[in-house]
Amino acid sequence: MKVTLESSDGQVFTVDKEVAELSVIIKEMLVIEQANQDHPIPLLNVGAVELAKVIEYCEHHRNDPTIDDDEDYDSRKKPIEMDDWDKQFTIVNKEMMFELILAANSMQVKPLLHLGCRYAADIVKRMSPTEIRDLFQIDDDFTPEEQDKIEWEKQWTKL
Amino acid sequence: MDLPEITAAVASFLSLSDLAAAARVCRSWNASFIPTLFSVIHLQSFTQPASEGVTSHADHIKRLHIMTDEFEIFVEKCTKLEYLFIELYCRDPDIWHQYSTLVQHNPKLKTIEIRDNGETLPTVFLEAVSTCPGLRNLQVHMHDLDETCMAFILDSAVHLEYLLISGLGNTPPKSLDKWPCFPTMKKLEMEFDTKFPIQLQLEMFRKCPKLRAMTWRVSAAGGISIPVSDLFGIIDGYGSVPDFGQLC
Repeated sequence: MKVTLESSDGQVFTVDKEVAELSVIIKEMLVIEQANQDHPIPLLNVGAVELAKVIEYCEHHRNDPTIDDDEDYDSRKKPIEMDDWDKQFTIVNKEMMFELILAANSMQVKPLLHLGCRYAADIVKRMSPTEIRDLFQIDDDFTPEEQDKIEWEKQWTKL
Repeated sequence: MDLPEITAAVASFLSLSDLAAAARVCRSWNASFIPTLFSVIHLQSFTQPASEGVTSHADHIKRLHIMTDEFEIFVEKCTKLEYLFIELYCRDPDIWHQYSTLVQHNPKLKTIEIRDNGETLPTVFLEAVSTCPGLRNLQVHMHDLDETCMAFILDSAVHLEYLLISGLGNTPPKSLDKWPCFPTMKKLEMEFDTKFPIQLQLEMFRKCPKLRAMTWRVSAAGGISIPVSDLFGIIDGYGSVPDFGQLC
């Protein structure tokens, strides 16, 4: 069975139902609208470029087992499976990857969100606060009092 | 990067020093990364984080490991604990009072593990543990627990899925009549050659209808015969054969 999806800028995509169902949001919508859809499912927060990329990801991972949602404290210790295809997939520019994270989040495509967050974490790893600010063009908006207060957080870096 | 569900996922891939750096970027990053930075705390005398920081962020702690009693415990703010690990040599009975208050403030506790070879009995602490509503997993590694302490452990066991009692000198209650059943227990580990008589241990196993795994540890060598026929009698009572773990 096919499903049609419409991006925020009006482009329509037709995909297999099981591919679209990697998105928790779409899966839930399909349950609610059980009757065959006459109109495409609107994705108001996702542009055509990102949606095409999300669909590409879902097509490749259509047969993956679902990851359970349980909060697992040891997850930071386990390496997450990332195959060559995924590595190729993440070779895009930073802005594109952040758009994809947002799209994966709004469509609730959990494994893609996971992949994107790992990519984002790799970027900020071992960076100082100043380097992070420069990279993301963030202003240091701490008041002097707050600055004093967070000084002790430096302690963690000695661990 | 500003959505909480995204930062939480990003944070899960970062080390403590990375999280500490991210928390010092700006106010919104601070708000995003502080909860993960303080979710797991190890209180150790040599590497403890600045006490000011831990105290002011105690409301984020989910897993707390206490390995020293030199640290002032921030009882009022620390209310989201899910896991508590205590390992010390406790000489001061007031310490157990402090920790029992901590347990009473933390209804979300699922797992408690204590290892202590100190000189004071943790009676008040175990009493608090026995009233902990959501506790599923209790592990007690201790020598010389008296009958009252053991009774509090068994009171807890009525709600537990996993119980470990270790320590040669543990004194069990005279009978198990007070506890007709441990209905949710899935895994039970005991030391085989404690003061806990074998018949009472067997009776405990019998009182766990959902038991899936059992472990008997043998600490001292020789001289003990395992009542094999009684053991198989218990196994026959189960629909499926439990996992024997380290049964010797």
